[in-house]
Amino acid sequence: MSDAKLRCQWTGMAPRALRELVDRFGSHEQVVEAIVRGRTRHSAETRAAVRVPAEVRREELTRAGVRWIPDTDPEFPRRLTDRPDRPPGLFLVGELATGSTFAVVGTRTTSAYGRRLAEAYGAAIAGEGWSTVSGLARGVDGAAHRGTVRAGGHGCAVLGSGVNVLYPAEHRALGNQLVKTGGAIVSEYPLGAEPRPWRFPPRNRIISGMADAVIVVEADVKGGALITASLALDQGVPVFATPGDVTRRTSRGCNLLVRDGAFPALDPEELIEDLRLLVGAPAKRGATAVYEGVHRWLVEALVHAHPGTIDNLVAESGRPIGEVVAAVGELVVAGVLRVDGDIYGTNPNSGAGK
Amino acid sequence: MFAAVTSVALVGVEPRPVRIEVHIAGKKPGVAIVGLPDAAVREARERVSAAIVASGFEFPQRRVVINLSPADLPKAGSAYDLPIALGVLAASRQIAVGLADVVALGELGLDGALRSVTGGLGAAVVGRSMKRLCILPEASGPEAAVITDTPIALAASLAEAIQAARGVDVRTPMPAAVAEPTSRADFSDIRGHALAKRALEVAAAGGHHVLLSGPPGAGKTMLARAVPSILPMLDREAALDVALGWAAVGRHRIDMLVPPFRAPHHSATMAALIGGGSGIPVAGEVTLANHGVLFLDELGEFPVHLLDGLRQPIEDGSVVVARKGASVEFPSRFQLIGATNPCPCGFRDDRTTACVCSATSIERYRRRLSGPLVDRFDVRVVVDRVPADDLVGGRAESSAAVRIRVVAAVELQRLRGQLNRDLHRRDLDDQPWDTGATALLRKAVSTSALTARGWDRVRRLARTVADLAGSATINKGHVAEALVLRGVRQ
Repeated sequence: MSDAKLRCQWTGMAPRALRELVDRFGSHEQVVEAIVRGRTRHSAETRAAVRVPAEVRREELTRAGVRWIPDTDPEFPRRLTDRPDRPPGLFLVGELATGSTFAVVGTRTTSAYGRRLAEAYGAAIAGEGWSTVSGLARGVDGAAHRGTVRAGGHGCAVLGSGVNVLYPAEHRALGNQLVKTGGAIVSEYPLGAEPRPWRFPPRNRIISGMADAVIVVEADVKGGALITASLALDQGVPVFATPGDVTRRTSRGCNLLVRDGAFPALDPEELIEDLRLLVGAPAKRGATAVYEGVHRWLVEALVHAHPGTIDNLVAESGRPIGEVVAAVGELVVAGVLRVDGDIYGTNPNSGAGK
Repeated sequence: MFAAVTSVALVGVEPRPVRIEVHIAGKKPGVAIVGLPDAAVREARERVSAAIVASGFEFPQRRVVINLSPADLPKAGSAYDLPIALGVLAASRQIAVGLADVVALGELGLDGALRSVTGGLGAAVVGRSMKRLCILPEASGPEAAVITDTPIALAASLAEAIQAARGVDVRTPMPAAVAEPTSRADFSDIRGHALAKRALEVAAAGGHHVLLSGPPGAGKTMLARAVPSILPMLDREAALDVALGWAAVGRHRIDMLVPPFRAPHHSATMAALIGGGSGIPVAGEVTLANHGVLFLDELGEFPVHLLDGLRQPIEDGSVVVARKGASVEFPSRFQLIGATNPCPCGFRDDRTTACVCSATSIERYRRRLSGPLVDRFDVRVVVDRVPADDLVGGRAESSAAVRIRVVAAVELQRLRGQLNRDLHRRDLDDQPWDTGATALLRKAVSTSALTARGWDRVRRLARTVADLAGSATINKGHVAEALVLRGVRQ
């Protein structure tokens, strides 16, 4: 079964189109059969690609040091499996992270401010033993990967080309470095697939699907980073955004995200505290030790109802009112939340008030 | 010739026995009533003599002295007609009845009919304590039936009253209905408002006073009115207390086991709210709300002196009203629920409607509410208008379900000896706080989220939250919830 899946994926056809074919013909095997027999309207190129037996493909992968994991594999990112447009499998060099993973994304035409922060975030995330996932692109992506590599942490790059086609060229060394330090390079496109503009937007769903939270460092109102952020919200993944100058073009997207309720990502230490809270890790700072044990459900509810009343949080989280009230109380005392009237929101001065 | 009958006078809400003595001597016809009677009592002589004649007896044409004892207790109203008439008939040897064994109360008509008066319940209480038969007008039956363990006879006329005193044709009142009330505000009728309902549940469980603030139309009144439905039913003793308080102002409650709910308007006078009036003080709203809920809507509209006047009843559970000649103590153990707008127009915290108040008017409004009374509110929550989306949908949890939890929590407090509302600092220190709870309290104080004054109040609330959870020890979660319900700020 997974053989047919691999053969289908190697044609490079869109997951949605493949899904429709599976619905029509019944299974991946029958889809392969149908394409080979010319019962579908596919190009000769596609027909040729799908004819190649799975064993040959697997040999090719082994030679290149690449693994292929189908969407039924336990290693396959959990959040992606719920999406109808998930790829049938992922091509993978190196090892995926087993612990918490955070996406650091942003524009390619970044300012020094964005690059510095992205690198610092990457390093700080690595310092906690967590993994950073990004897209190996110029700008924020590259800076985040660099931070990971410098701190010797686990990083993962999701590409819009085959895993053996590292793009852009100046990040080829960086990509290899990621694998060398225990990280991974991932793609849904077959070996040798060239970087094409239409291949980049879809890979964002894989980035957000692998992450426990998405951190947008610098972004204009249009661009991959905001696509990733909105995909994240669809998937129930919390979004952080670094506020920036109101007049700077590359901060507009982030500022809008903050306005719409994203968590503000401040300096790396603050970010780490918030992420600790998110994954339910014990807080490091003594003063905030009280939010030990308060779990990510509240933070997730806050993502949707932010800022919101306790009634909103009850509705979002589905938790009993007593539990919500108690959790909110702890976070207010800890300075993570603040209250205005009956509206609770994250405290932008979080930690500064200790 | 001499006879004596027992009747009853109300001092505040407390019924006290009054002994009515009739002495007939001397040849010169005339009637004298002594012993601090008011005008209505003095007029009794005309009604009594007419009623006696109408009932087929004679009014003695001799000197009749009627003494109401104790002589220093002011007596008012027409309720002594019946005992006076019985006394006159016995003293003139027209009836041979053991009047030493009855307590009688009622107004007589000129035709001998027995009419209703206030104090029927008080007479039953006195009859019970003195182990005597209580003879009352028929209309007093339902009121007196709160007392089930003493004999009560109802009479429609003087003649029937005499029969009853003889032990013939005794009609007894129907026992009072104790069925659960049906048409009453219920939590299940209230959509949304998760936080406010939780706050009221905690408040009900510990007897804490609650301040609800929010824009007009948010549902503050509706929420407050539903509170009696989650309070434990009154036990017999409390129900009697409440009935006595109501009887003192001539009123009778039908659902007598349901805690009372009183919502005086902000135009009420001090006498109406606290008790008072000229002459013998009359019970006020705080006494009618005894063992129940006193709801003050538009708290900011109440005059400051009224709010200050509530301090004693809240602190002491009773209020002493002194007037010339009489100082009376009224019970007033109620749960106070205040509702207020956040500003004069009400929309300061609202998310959809803009506030039109000036900064100075808001400030003036707040200052009014920052007095010592507002400090008595252990629970303070903001009630928002419920979005239209939340108004449709399934029914919420019923009051009966909430009440089960509240009753369990109250029972725990009963075992400890007092309501959490009344816990003192020392009692609070002795509670089993776990380390997380102590740490969170300290942290709250150190970040000035909690003032020293709020310290004990949050601890009381935390005790109640723990009681609701059925937990002996108080943990961090209980304290955290108490902090939010108290209205903690960062």
